[in-house]
Parts: sequence; structure tokens; C-alpha cells
Amino acid sequence: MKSLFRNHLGNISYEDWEWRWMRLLFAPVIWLATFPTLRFWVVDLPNTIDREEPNGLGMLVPLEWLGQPVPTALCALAIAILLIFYVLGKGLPWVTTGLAVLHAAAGSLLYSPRGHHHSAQLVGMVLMGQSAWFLYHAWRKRSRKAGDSPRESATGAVFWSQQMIAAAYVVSAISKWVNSGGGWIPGWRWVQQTPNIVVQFEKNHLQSFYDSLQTPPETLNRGVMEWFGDHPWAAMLCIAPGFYLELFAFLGLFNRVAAALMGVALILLHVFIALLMHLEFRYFMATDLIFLVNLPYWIATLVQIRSINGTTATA
Amino acid sequence: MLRVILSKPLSAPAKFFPMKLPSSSPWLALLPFFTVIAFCYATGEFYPFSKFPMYSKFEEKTYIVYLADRTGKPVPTLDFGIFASDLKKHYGDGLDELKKDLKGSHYTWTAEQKAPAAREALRFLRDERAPQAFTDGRNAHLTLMDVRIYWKDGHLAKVEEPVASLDQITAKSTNP
Repeated sequence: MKSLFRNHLGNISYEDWEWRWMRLLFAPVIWLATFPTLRFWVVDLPNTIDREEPNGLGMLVPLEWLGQPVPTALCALAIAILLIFYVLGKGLPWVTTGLAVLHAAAGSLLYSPRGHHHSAQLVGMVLMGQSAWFLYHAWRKRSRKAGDSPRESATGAVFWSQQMIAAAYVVSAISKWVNSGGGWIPGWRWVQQTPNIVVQFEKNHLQSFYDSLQTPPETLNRGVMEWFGDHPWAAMLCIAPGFYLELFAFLGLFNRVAAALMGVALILLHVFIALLMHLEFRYFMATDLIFLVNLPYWIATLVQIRSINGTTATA
Repeated sequence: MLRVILSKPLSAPAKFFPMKLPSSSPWLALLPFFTVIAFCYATGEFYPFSKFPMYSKFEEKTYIVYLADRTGKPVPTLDFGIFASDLKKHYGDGLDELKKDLKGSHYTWTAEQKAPAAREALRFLRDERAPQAFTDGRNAHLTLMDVRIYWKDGHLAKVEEPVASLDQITAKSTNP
């Protein structure tokens, strides 16, 4: 249990094979977060940007042209090619930078008006983090401040990706703290307001209904809403951990066990939100699973332990 | 088995300090983490960076919108290629615009006062989002319904009213 509380901040070593698995698993997430379809022949981007509330690169340069059929197809082709190089691990400084810029450009079309959607931001942030790491690492190598070890390259890429994930959740918690009225105890006012979440449940339920006039599938939503309505303290007790999980997401950076547990906890938080409020954050869950939980490492560790135990038993 | 996993030095320190920052403090390794938090706050919303403000406060009231035909029967918003939540955001942006001229909260405004925002949302549907859904006079009387939801004394209350209808809006002008 001690390993959970060990501080190895910045000193956890990631092997190249772990980073290869992460790239392989993250590549389809990047694609789907940019073009939410696997049917390459029907990729589509909006060709309008809300000029009163543009988002991202769309605030700096006109990008509506990217939503025209030919530029969209070329953008998709470029991303597909870059993803192949990404999975192969070739030219990562330029590949990750290219992916980050193209994803951000597409995102400024997909997520305009500004602030209306937050379903794929984490993917873009992780790409930005990877791009920044590889450019920094390339500079270090050029100025002979770093070696050419694949492990060093992998370690930085994974650690910076994890930092982007932690930062996103911590920012979200700080927004809750500030917007709900601040106060000396982080999140206390937000927690006090949580019984009013019943109104949000009802809003999401009705909006899901008016999308298609089909009654949304019965999940925990209705029953839990009524229960929270009758027991405001239950709402506070059930929802408050979500805030503190976000606020302390950076603890997942301290060691591998903490990262895995934080990843699982954040995924469970998203599952809870999806069940209650019909809000799915698939790309967030996938990113947490890949970079925090890091299943291939744990599978390899279990296999290794079994093999050691087997050898010991035989001896 | 669990004991073996937890006692194994899974987080064994690397033989090198991967960042090699000009300090021995591992906290400096968190420079990207703090930089991104600062950037998110400085820019507010600049894809992919965001302050993630959704559900950052819970009020005792909220509102939604839906679409209805001339008889008041609901019409699926997805028939117009839009989620009800997105339609509400367009309408909400319009309400925010009206705050420049009208006083107080839009929860106290009349349907007539809110109508310009609703007309703009309907115009957006007809002229930009789904013009094909309005050919042959279909949906010519589409109405935007405003539903207010309140949570008071342990009970939900809803108030809904039509705010504007498409037949109040001039058809899109076409240049010869």
C-alpha cells in the first residue's frame, strides 16, 4: 500500500513499448474526436463559424474554407497519413505538431460558438502537450542536453500527456469553485448548491426527449432525481466527491498506482455523469484509460508476476 | 497477488531525471501542468483549451426550448439537424443580446420581450441549419416554445409558453 503514497513526481520511467501501445490506442481517438465517423468517405466539417463567438484558431484566421468538401477531404487525408506516422513513431515532433494544429483547426469549426461543447478538448490538449514535449526534446537533443534514448522520449511524452489531463480536470474544479461563489473552502459553495442539480436532471431529460420525441432510456436518472429531491444531503454526499476528484487529479502524477487509480476513478465519474445526466464524455474516458490507467503495463506486470511466482514454485 | 503488486517497486525512479530542468526540484517538472492551467484561465475558451465552465454552478431554475407545429404539438429538433440543447444555446445567446436593452433577468421577461431571440433562433434554423426542411412550405408555422423549470420547496414546477413563430419572420430574401 505504501507505493500508493510514494512521490515519484517527474521520475517515473515509461518504456518505449508502453508509449507504442498508447499511440496505437490513441490514434483512433484522435480521428474520432476530429471527424466523428469511421466512414472515411463521408467525413464532414461545418463550413460556418459563429463570428460573434468564434473558437480557437477560428478567432485568429478565417477557417470556414476548411469546411468545404475538398479542403475537408484533404484535411482528413492529411490526418490519416499523420496518424499512420504517429502509430509508427516516425518524425514525432512534426507529426504531433501537425496533428495538434489540424485537430485544433477542425475543432474551431466543430466547437463554434465558443463554449457550447466540451466533449473533445482533452484530446486536443493531450496532442498539444505531446507536440510541445517532442519539440522541446528535439531542441534538447540538438543542444546535447539529452540523449537519444527511446525510453527518455517515451517518458516525457507520457508524462506531459498526463499533465495535460490533470490540468484539464483541475481547471474544471477551479471553475466550479470560483463560479459558484468562491469561499475559503474549495468547492464548499458548489457542494451546497448540488441539491439544485435536480433542475439540471429535468432539463437534460426533457432536452433528450425533444431531440427525437423518444423517451430517453430509463437509467438511474429519474429515480435518483426523485431521491435527491427528497434528500438534499444525499445529493451533496454523492456529488461532492466528483469535485474533489477533479481538484486533486494531479495526485495521479505521483506514481503509477496513483495514476491507475485516478484514471479508474475519473472514468467512473464520467460513467456516473452519463447515467445521471445523459452526458457522455467518451473521448475523456478513452484518454484517461490510455494515459492514466495504462492497461498494457498492468497486464504485462501481472504476466510477469505470474511467471516469477511460477518459477519460484517450480524451484 | 495484490500484496505483490503493491509492494513491487512499480514506480521505480528512473536512472535519469527525464526533464533535466535547471533545478533539482521535481515540482518544476510540473511546469507544463501549471502553464496550461494559466493558459486556460488567460484565454477562457480557445479550442482545445477551456475553463470547462459547464455545471460550475447550480441555480434553482433553468430553461429549455423545443419546437412545435401550429397546433402546439412538439416536433423533433433533430428533424432540423440540431439538438434541443444547441437550439437552446442559440436562443440563450439571443437573450444575452437583449440584456443590453432590457433590464433584469430574462426569467422576469414576457414572451413578447423574449420574442426577438426566438425569432433569430428560428431564422437560423430556416436559413442556415436546415433550409431543406422548409421547402414546399413545410414547417412554415414552426414555433419556438420556452419552458422554465423551477425547483422550490422540494418540488419541480414548469411554465411553458410559445415565444415566436416562423410565420412572423420574413422569408429569406433572394437576390435576382
